[in-house]
Amino acid sequence: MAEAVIEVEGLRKQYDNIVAVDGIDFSVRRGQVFSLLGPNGAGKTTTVEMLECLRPPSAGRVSILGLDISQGRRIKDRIGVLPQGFNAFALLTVRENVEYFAGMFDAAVDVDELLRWVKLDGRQNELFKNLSGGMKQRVGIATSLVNDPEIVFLDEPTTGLDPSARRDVWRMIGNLRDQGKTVFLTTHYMEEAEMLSDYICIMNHGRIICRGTPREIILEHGGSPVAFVRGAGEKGLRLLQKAFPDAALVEDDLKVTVHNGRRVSEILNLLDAGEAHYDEIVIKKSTLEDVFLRLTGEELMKEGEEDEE
Amino acid sequence: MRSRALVDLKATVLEFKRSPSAVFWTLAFPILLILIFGAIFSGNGAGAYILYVQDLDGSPQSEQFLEILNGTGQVEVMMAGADEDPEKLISDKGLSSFLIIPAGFGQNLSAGENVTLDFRWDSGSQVAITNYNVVKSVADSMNLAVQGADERISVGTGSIVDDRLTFIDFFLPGVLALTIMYSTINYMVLTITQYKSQGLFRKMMTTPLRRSEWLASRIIWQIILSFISVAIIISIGSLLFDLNATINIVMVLLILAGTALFTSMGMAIAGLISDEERADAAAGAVVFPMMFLSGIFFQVEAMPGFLQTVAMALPLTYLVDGLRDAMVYGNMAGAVFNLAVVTGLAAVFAVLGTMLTRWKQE
Repeated sequence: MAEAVIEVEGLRKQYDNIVAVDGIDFSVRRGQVFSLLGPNGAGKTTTVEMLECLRPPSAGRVSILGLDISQGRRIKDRIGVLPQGFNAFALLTVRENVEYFAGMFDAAVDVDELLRWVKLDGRQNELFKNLSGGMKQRVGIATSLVNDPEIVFLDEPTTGLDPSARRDVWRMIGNLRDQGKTVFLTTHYMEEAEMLSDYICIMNHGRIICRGTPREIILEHGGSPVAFVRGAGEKGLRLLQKAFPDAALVEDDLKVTVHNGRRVSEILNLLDAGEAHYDEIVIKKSTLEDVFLRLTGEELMKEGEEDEE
Repeated sequence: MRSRALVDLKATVLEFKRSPSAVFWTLAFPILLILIFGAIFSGNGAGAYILYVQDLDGSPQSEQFLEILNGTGQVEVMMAGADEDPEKLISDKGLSSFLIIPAGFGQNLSAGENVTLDFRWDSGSQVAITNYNVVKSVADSMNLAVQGADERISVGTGSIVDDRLTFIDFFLPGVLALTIMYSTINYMVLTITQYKSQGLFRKMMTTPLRRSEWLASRIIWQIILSFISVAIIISIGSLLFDLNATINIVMVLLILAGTALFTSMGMAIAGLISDEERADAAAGAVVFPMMFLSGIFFQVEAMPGFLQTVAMALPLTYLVDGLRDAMVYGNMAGAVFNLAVVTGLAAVFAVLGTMLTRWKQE
């Protein structure tokens, strides 16, 4: 197993009477895509800002690349950060913006190469203010890579982007992992975390309520798959009721939970044996979204809402 | 090691070049001020104001009066017909003063009786006040003549400042101070609130750039801008108007200290008020009273007592006074005193501004 590049123990942050982060522990291994997941106000951004050496913790220990976070300057040289809702200088071009942030580090990468990597080499002379949201985010990702960081922090990198721009960002995160970089992702999009992450911590009210690989989390907390037999009607229900007592009719569709080692093929066999008619059968697996709902009873933020934390 | 402040300075220059409003307010607006006010006050203009007179008397005495009036060169007499309605003429022509010489003026004067000239005026009008004074002085001199006094009292004038100095010499140092004040305050308030709300400071914080390096870059830029606008304003003043003001080391130091003072003041305002719109309003509330009460457009000595006290409390007053002392009056002791005040204030505001500037929107 690769070494831990981020180690967090008993991390806590309190503002006056509000406890934003309430004693959390986790570690991130080199080369992982690690996601901190949770609704707005869960304490994700506060946690990330402590890891980025922007806010001092009220208590606990954080070590980044073997350095204590009191050594902010040395850490900053080796990490890259895309803040939430990133904006660059509106009146500078793409290239000038990337050069600006490259100029802040003693050792910086080749700007041309970086612009090619984020596919902005063709637009490098456009002013930042004239770019689309997706392209602005690509500039942001480029500025977080200027120092060839070992860890890249991406705070809500796809919030407010259209689906195609969002897929671009996902592709880049995949490429970063392929290059062996550690990616620390903060998101409230379950689908995104499930698809990209090697390891996930779910936060709510300042605590980590669940952790593991996406598969582990879904298996452990996600519940059983549900089969929807569309158009099976009353006849279908009668055929299945004995073997699947919790089968239920939703209008003309049959909803059957497939648990206790039962198989979907059993449902099909019973229906076929009874010569029941049905249009199609759809199996819905549990997602992280369901997990979150089950764990907290709360819904995650709906798309398009403001995401201030 | 790279100079991060220089990297930031380069970005600042590029942003400035591409911002038409920044270029206008820093470079074009002071030029406009100099041109407009220079044109209004510099020359002697039309010289005499027009005064409409209706002579209802038509006697030799009234003609003599008009002759003396015309002879002063202070007014240009325009005659209104004896049958014209004064009220109508005043409203039609938009006059602020109108003189009527009543019938019987000559006869009564010869008989040694009192006569009263009918001067109709808008007492709030500068032109009318001037015309009134001219008419009054002509009447006084005729009184003396009528009483047979030989002695004529006259007032000779002697300038207490160098005679070569013109209006533009007094006005220009004020424009320099004004430009430095509003362009630095506005620039700092706008930049800091924008960078904060756009999260640029937050991004900068994740790099090795120090807050002090950022501040150094912005202050250096403001100083460069101040000297560029000073050079432009002085060039315009010398080319188009008769500028006699001198350039010296105290003036240069005053510009440096003034720029530092108002840069820090802008930082303090933006540090206290994070919201962009409200910070802009607060900057206006600081800039405008200083603009009008620091003796640039109106003399502090001519203001009511309490406003003079206010003017004394405004930092811009000391920069304006210092620049005038150094550039116009050649009063180096005064200039150095004002330089000390501006430098002291700059130090106070620099501490305040640095303390209040937060890079992050909390």
